[in-house]
Order: sequence, then C-alpha cells, then structure tokens
Amino acid sequence: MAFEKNLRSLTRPLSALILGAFVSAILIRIVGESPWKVAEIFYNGAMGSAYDLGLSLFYTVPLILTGLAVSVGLRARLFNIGVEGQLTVAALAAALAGIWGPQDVILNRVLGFAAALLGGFLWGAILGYLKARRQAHEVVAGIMLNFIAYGITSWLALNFFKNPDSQNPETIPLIDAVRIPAWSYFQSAPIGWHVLLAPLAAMLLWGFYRWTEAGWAMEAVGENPKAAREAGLSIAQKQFWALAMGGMIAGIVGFIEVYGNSGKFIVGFSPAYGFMGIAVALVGRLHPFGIILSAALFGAIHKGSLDLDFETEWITRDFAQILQAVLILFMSCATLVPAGIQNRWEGLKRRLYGQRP
Amino acid sequence: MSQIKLRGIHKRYGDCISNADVNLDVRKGTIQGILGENGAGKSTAMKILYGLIEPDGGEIWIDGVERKLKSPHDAKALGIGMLHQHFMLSEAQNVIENIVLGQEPTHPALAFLPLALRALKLGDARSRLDMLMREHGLPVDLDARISDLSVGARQRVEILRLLYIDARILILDEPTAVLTPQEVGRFFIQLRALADQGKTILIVTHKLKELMAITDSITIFRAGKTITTVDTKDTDADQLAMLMIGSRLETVKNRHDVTRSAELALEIEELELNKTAPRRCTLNLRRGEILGIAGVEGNGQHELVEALRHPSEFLKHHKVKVLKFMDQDVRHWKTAQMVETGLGCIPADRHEEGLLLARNAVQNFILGHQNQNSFRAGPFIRWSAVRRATEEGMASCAVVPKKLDLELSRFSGGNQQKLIFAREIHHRPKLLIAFHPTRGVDIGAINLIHKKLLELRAEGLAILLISSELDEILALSDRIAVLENFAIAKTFDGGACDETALGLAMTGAQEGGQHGL
Ligand SMILES: Nc1ncnc2c1ncn2[C@@H]1O[C@H](COP(=O)(O)OP(=O)(O)OP(=O)(O)O)[C@@H](O)[C@H]1O
Ligand SMILES: [Mg+2]
Repeated sequence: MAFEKNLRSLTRPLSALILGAFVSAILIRIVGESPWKVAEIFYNGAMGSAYDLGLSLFYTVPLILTGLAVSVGLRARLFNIGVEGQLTVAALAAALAGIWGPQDVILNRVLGFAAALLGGFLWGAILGYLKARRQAHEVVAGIMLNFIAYGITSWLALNFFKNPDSQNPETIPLIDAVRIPAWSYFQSAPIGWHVLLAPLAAMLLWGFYRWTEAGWAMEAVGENPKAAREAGLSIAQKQFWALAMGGMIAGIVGFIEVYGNSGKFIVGFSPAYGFMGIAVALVGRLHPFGIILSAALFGAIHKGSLDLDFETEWITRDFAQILQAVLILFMSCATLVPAGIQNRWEGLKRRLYGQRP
Repeated sequence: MSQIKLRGIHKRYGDCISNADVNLDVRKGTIQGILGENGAGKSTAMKILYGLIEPDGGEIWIDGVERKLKSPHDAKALGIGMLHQHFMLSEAQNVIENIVLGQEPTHPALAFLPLALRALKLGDARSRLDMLMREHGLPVDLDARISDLSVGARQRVEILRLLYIDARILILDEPTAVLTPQEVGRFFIQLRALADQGKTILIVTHKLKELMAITDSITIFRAGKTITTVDTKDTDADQLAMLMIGSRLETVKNRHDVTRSAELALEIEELELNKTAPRRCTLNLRRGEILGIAGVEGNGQHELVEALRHPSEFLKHHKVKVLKFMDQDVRHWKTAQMVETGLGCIPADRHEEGLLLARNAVQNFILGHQNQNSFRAGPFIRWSAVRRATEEGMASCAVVPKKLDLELSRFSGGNQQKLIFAREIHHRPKLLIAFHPTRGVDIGAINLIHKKLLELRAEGLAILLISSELDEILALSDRIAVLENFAIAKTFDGGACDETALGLAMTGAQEGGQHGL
C-alpha cells in the first residue's frame, strides 16, 4: 500500500517530463531542428557512454546536496535561498584547509571536509541568526548573503591565494596526493568515492526526521508554528537550526568540488547549484529519496542540454537553456491538469468503474 | 414539498464509511436540527450539501430539481451558505476583508487581485455589516485582525459572514460551540426570524437544550445513516439521547465530597492581564480543586491562559506580584519548563493551537510531551512507546476510528478534541487548563470527559476550567470565579451557586466590562 503510494507519487514528475518534452519538441521544430535528432543527442549526451553518464552523475551529486539543504529549510517553512553562498564559502574553506593543512593524505582530507562543513554551517548560521533573532526576511537576507559570499571569496582567493601559474580566477591547487582519485569506470569523469557522500547525507537526513526529536520538532514548527509554541518548542531556535543545518549540508558540495573535482577553489565554479536545489527539493517533494531521484533527473537534463549546443546547427547554448527551463517548469507544477478537467475526469472514472460502498 | 431532499447519499474513504445512507427532507422556512455522535457523519453530509465533498452516490434535490454540486461555487449559486465546524478565516486579514472576500460579485478568477483593484466598495459593506451587527447583537470590531480575536469573536465573524451573503439555505455546523448563553439566546431569536422570512436552516449541534429550543424537527445520525427524524414538539431531551446513543442521559455532577488539600497548585497575585484595565487579577487554586472561570469572552480568559503557558514571554510586557506554580516562582519560566513541571492545557482552538493536522494521531500525541522520559532515548524518540501511549489514550477517551496512522484532519471534530484531552491527561499533569474542553464533543463523550475530570481531581489534579458553558461550570466546579474586565469580580462556592446567580453576576460583568473583542 505504502509502496503503491510511492509509486503513484512518481507518476506526476514523469508525466510532467513527457508533457515538457512535447512542448520542447514543438519549440525545436520551430527553430528548424528535428526533435528526434535532438532527443538522440540529448540521450547520448546524458548517458550515451560511461563518460557521459559520469558527467551526468557529476552534476547530480551537488544537486542532491543542495536539494537536501533547501528541503531542510522548507520543512521548517523557510525558504533557504542562501544555499549558493553557503556552498561557495564552504568551497573556499575546504581549499584553504587543504592548502594550509598537514600534507598527510587522511588528515588533510578530514580537515578539508571539516572546514567545508564549518564554512557552510557558519554561513547558514548567519542567515539563521538574522531570521530567528533579528526578524530579517530569510529570502532577502539569503540573497544578500549570496552576494557577500561571492564577493568575499573572490577577493580572498584572488588577492591572497591566487594561483600564479594560471590565467584563471582560482587559488593555488592542493597537492595531487590528497585529491580523491576518480574511478576508472567513468573514464576521465571526476567520479570517485566522494559521490557517495550525497546519498549518505540523504540517508542520515531521512533518519534524522524519522527518529530524532530535533527532526520531528523542526517539522512541527514548519507545519503549525502556533501549536509548536504551545507545545513548548522554541520557534526561533528551530528556525536557526534549519538554516544552519542546511548550510552544513550545502557545505559538502564545496568539499566535493575542491577534493573531488578541481583540486582548488575556482571563482564561480557552481553553475547555480544552489538555485537549482530549490527546484530539486520541490520536485522531490522534500523527501530525501525523492530528492535523489529528482536530482538525477535534473543532472541528466543539465548534461544532455549542454551537448545540444555543439552538436546541432541551430540550437545554441541559450536555447538549450530554454529547453531545460521548460522541462523544469513543467515538473514544478503541483497540478498538471486544471481542477475542472480533473473533476470531470474523476467523475468519468467513477461512472465507468462504479464505486459503491 | 421539501426544499432540500437528500436520497441515499453515501461516501467512503478507504475502509472508513463516512456516510452510508443519508436521507433528509427539509421544508422551506423551517429549522432542522441534526444530531449524532462524534464521527456519525454529520459534517460530511453537510459538506456534501455544500458541494465541498462529492458523494460516491445518491441524489441531491433542491427546490424539486436534482442537482450535481461540484463545488461550493455551485452551492452558492443556488443560495446555499455554510458555517463550518472549524473556522475558515484568514488570519492575516481583518474582519471586514474576511467577510467580504470571495462574496463580491467579481469573477472568482480575479479573486487574487488586491482589493483596491477590484473596485470593491468596502464602505457599502461596512454600513450593511454595522446594521447586521446591531440587528443581531453580534458585536465585532470590523477592522481588527483575525489573529487578534478570541475564539468567541471569531465565531461571531463566521456568523456575520453567513448573514452577509444572504443565503436562502443556511447550513450551520456547530455554530454555538463557543458562544455564551446570552449570545446563543440572541442568535436563536434571529435564526427564528430568518426562518419566518422563508429561509431554510440546517443546524448541527450537540446541545440538546438548543435543539429543543430552536428546531422544528430533528434528524438523528448514527454510524453514517440517518436513522430517524422526529418533530421537536413531540420529543424531549431524554428521548433524543436515547435515539442517539441508545441509552438514557445521565449527567455527571460534582458532589463536593472530596476534601481538597491545602497545598496550592497555583498562586496568582496582582497579575496584569491588560495594560488598560483598572484592576489586576488575583486567584489561587489548590490541588484537587476545580476552579471554574465564568465570564463573557474577551474579559481576560485568553490572557490568563497565555500568562500561565508562557510566563517568561507574557511577563515581558505585563506586571505581576506573585506567580507560583507548585510552590515555585515561575515568573521567568519558559513554556517547556511549565509543561515538564506538570502543566497540561486543552487549548481553546484545537486546530490553531493544539494539533498538527497533516500528521497522524501518534505524531500528535507526542506534541507538547516530546521531552517526557518515557518517550525518549537520548536524542531519539521512542516511537513504539508513543504508539502504545496513543493507543491507550484513544481507547480510554473513546476516540474513533481507532486508527493510529490516520491523518488528524480526517478525524471528526469531536474526535480531534477527545484526542487532545487524552493527550493532555496522559502524563498525569499537576494543573490542567481546560479551555472549552468539550467544544464539539457529543453528549456521551462529554459525560466521559466530565467523569474523568472529577476522577483526576480526586487524585489531586488542580483544574482551571474556562468555558462558555455555564452548565459545565456549574456541574464541575468546586469554586467559580467570574472574570470581568481582566480581574476576578466575584467568587462563588460551587455547591452554593445556581445558573441565575451566575448569570446575573456575568451580565453585570458584561455591562461593566468590555465586550466585543
Ligand atoms: N478525509 C477523510 N478520510 C478518512 N476518513 C474521514 C475523512 N473525513 C471524514 N472521515 C471519517 O468519517 C467519519 C465522519 O466524519 P464527520 O466529520 O462527518 O463526523 P461528524 O458527525 O461531523 O462528527 P463530529 O460531531 O465529531 O463533528 C469520521 O469517522 C471520520 O473519521
Ligand atoms: Mg462535525
């Protein structure tokens, strides 16, 4: 019964995907490409080879984490839009820890991981403090903190730790030994054991909400703040922790980027993972495992649409982004069918199958 | 010929049959009472008639024409208006917006536009509402925000809204649950006048006295079926009880035979409930005593509960001389500390303050008791223990259906109330604030709750009983205090007080005090 229900909750994003694909096909026709050809390129781009699959996975992993981070906020009825800033700060923290830390492989990685968590946590905690204690609106404060995070990290990275051997805006690299080796299966795609951190985080979070008092309370505050207050829960405290915890989870993205991918902090490394996390969380219905699935979908769509640019004549990078946005737009609709039509459909079903007590 | 005719209406949710076979005939210009136990399917049937729920089958005839009601919009078009069992007011808006919104003659698709863009003349609405308020004796401040209103005032807003839309058929689902007897009296006079003007009224209530006073005939629901309809003039309260629960009605009464201990559970001296009030509130409550607080709502009941539930917060803005709970100075205590020391509370508005409606019974049973040792293992919740407690609680207070995993919004109103009661007494509190404790509960269950309250009192529980039901206060209280203008105006001995004396004290209070809010 529960399984059946879970299965049914999958049909909505899937049918949304189909509808979105249909609309995309029309758009593609209009610019003069064949939808079938585009679909093929799209498919090959997303999972045509082990390498492509690896790159899809490469985008999926940060999206799982940012999706989780956003979901923690949303469950407490807070819109954590500061995830982008949190993961940026965390990445710089991880890079600096890696550069300065002991050169012993294990110690260095542990330190880098801890620094990433702490960086994300701190940036989330600032947001949490502003929301819970200073009554700032979390969306405004989150956006501003994103700007500040971007500014401070680039300033620090480029003025004090700039890589002298490179033209790019990036810091000195870590030594090769501490970087996490990629699995050979995915060829040169940067996929190693670090990607397991994302599902691990999802599992921990699932357990957190299911079994701990803190998780239960954070959700209770989100669902009915007045009743939660009567129950003796501190709303401000739970709000603080929902944002700070979200920051910490987002922080893992920073670690993965620095240790698992580039080996350094690159200014602007994130293609808006934090913002896409909002869509990922909502499509995944805030459920940790739903978020894994929706992040996989988003990751594949992202990778697939990247290839359209150079494999077709008419589809540019911008147009690919339009297609991606159309798909996401459809998936984020809570109800795909207008209520009136749905009612008629339900009525028809009742008449066909007849439901008597 | 009957104006409303329901035939064989049925509705089920999974394996829970809400309406099995509902048949109803209501003649134009009459007042029809609906009576039945909690969970008998009354609200479901009313919502079906209002187009909120689509039945699985059956026929709805209005004015001799069979109708399919797909939404409340269809019902409104036919002149059907409904007052819901639970408030449907938007907290962030003020009274007049709540009444006028959704009723104005614009297309519903434009309803999201701000008022200013909808060319709405609030002025007209205001003068009409002023007239209605005067005519019906329902004072409310039209510019007050809903979130600032007491439950009694909210109820008056709901009634006003219904009168404002000028429906031909009025469905009232427990409209009097938190009104004072005086307000009920006035409201009934108006209802009768409306019926005489040709309006048809359906009223769901658990109060037999009210049914006898206002209705022309009464339909009894049992387990989702309408079992019979009786003419009010041919019946009496005993027969109704017989039809409804299958046994005679026995009322529970405090015999004043328990010797109270001298130990004070609660000591309040000079508590400022309202900054502008001339006097402060002083009262105390011994263990094993029931103190009934009578008085018109808005005279400090909510503030008193607020002060006891959240002392540290409340006293930031209010003064007090002494506030002691179980002999400890609690002026700086937080809510959690109060609860852990043994303060239970049945809140006035169960949906707003007492429940997580989207969660199941188990998740709700731990609300407020999340720090109980028996429910915890370090940072973890012992859900198995909570489940067991929920099961026990539901059994002892006759909550139906006995489904632990049912979302709370799917329990009937009375059963939600019983669950809160079960939860609050489960951990044997030292002091229980019972604010409208039997709101929406059927007569059988009221007896059960009253019996339990008296039993717990005998074991040493102190109870602060705040209720708009004078009968309830008179039946249970060891002492009765009349709250007037944020202070105790008068105190009676429970055994030596009757309805007239109390009513008189309260009317005096009402004249001197603030009403409205
Ligand atoms: N959405 C739902 N899902 C499952 N069961 C439901 C749902 N709505 C109502 N029920 C069940 O249907 C039964 C009838 O509910 P209803 O609210 O009509 O009772 P009621 O007669 O109004 O009771 P009360 O006097 O307590 O208000 C209850 O047992 C309730 O649990
Ligand atoms: Mg009901």
